[in-house]
Amino acid sequence: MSKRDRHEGLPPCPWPQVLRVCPPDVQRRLQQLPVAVLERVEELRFRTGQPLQLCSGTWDRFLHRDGGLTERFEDALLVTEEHVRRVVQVATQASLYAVEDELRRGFVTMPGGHRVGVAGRAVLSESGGIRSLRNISSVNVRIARERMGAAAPVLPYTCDRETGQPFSLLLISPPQCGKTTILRDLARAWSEGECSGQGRKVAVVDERSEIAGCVDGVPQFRLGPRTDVLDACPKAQGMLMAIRSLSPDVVITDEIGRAEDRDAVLEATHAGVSVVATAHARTLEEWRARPYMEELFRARAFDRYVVLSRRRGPGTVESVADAEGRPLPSASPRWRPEGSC
Amino acid sequence: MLKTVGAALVWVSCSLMGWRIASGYRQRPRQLQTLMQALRLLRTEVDYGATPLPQALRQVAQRAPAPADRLWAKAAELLNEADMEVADALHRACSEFAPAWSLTAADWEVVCEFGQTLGTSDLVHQMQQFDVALARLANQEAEAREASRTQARLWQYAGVLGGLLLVILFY
Repeated sequence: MSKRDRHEGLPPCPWPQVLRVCPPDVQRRLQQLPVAVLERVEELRFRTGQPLQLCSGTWDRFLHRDGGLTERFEDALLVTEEHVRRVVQVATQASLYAVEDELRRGFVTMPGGHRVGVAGRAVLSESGGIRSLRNISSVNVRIARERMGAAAPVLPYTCDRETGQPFSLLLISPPQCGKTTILRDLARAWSEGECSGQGRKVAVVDERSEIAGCVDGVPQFRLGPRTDVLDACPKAQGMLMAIRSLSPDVVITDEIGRAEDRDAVLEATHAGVSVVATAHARTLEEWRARPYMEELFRARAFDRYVVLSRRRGPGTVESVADAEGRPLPSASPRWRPEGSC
Repeated sequence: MLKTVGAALVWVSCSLMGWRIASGYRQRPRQLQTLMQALRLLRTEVDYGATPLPQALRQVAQRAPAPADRLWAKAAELLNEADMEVADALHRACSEFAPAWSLTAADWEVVCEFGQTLGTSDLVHQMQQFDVALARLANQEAEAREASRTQARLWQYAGVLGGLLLVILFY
């Protein structure tokens, strides 16, 4: 058995951080898994009373109670309340008060940029909004990975070939298609001068600490030498703060969709700053149908729309459109997951 | 000569015992004050910065006056390295430092009970828990100050005079 097939020594990056949130018995079983399997896993799903599921977009297995993986849930390790409680405690750093806003939105970002989604019973406020979540019964640990070169298929659409002027760019895809990974690599590429041959000042507004994966304010991912990070800052406010105080050439943010996001993007693009953002949708038309987004489209806020899928693996470029939605020719070499971290 | 030396030793020992007990009474209000000061620092970290507990405890440990600094440093270390729950980490830190401090079991109980609520609720309720703990510690401190005023001198005199009594009885 090759070293790659059988894990020897420390598991590959980013597993040390992920293992830390896992209960000791789960840690032990995960550490015994081959490196090739660990590299494939994108999510760890803990559901009270159910088997512990490891999955990626197209693949899933249960953790066997005696070690290894299984497809039969009868042989799988069952998740207990204690398992879920432990994951939540470590992921929130035993500080519910520090993550109450995130919990209200259903997830917490842990050191390393990994997103821990939670499901439980919602406690409602008098106005009908969600005040908090209690009786958390499901936890989904989504593993964030740094892929150098992930943005390569998108680079041709990031700036004007003649002037080198950065384009405002929107990455559109359903969840788990590599948007955030590409966005992170785009921040690095702009900052290191890979996009237009000249390094640009980049401001990353990282509302959920996923892009930079900051720990105590320090980015855990490589974002380049000209990048400022507004960590845990609300997108709309952060974009305006960045424009006013950081004089960026490019503002990068994740998952726009609210009215205030629309206003902030318009404010930025009208201020001569390029915005690179992501949005959840399968096609450009689907994105336009979302509330407030048609106004962004009509205002030609974005110069390029890149639609992604995972048809040939995460980060497959399905189509590229210009500011008016006209398709542009695209080439989509799939980026290689190997050799990252 | 030997008898005189022995008598002097008995008297000095009794005086020191009295002084030590009196010192405990004098130290208790001061130590409670440092604990309260550390709790206020932690309250600021939690309220203003929403700082996660491991980091907040480390910062309190750096800024709190002695001897409370070591207590919070130990709790932060246990929370971080031993992956313990907050209540257990604070309880173990209290148990470790209790013999060296002059606090009573009731004082430690306030800290440990507060530890059971730390990090388990949203900001509003966490602030209420801070207020409750600080109010309880303030009560303990007032009681300790009164005890110090009445008991410290009493034990100091009792040590000296008790020693003298023994010397007179055995001499």
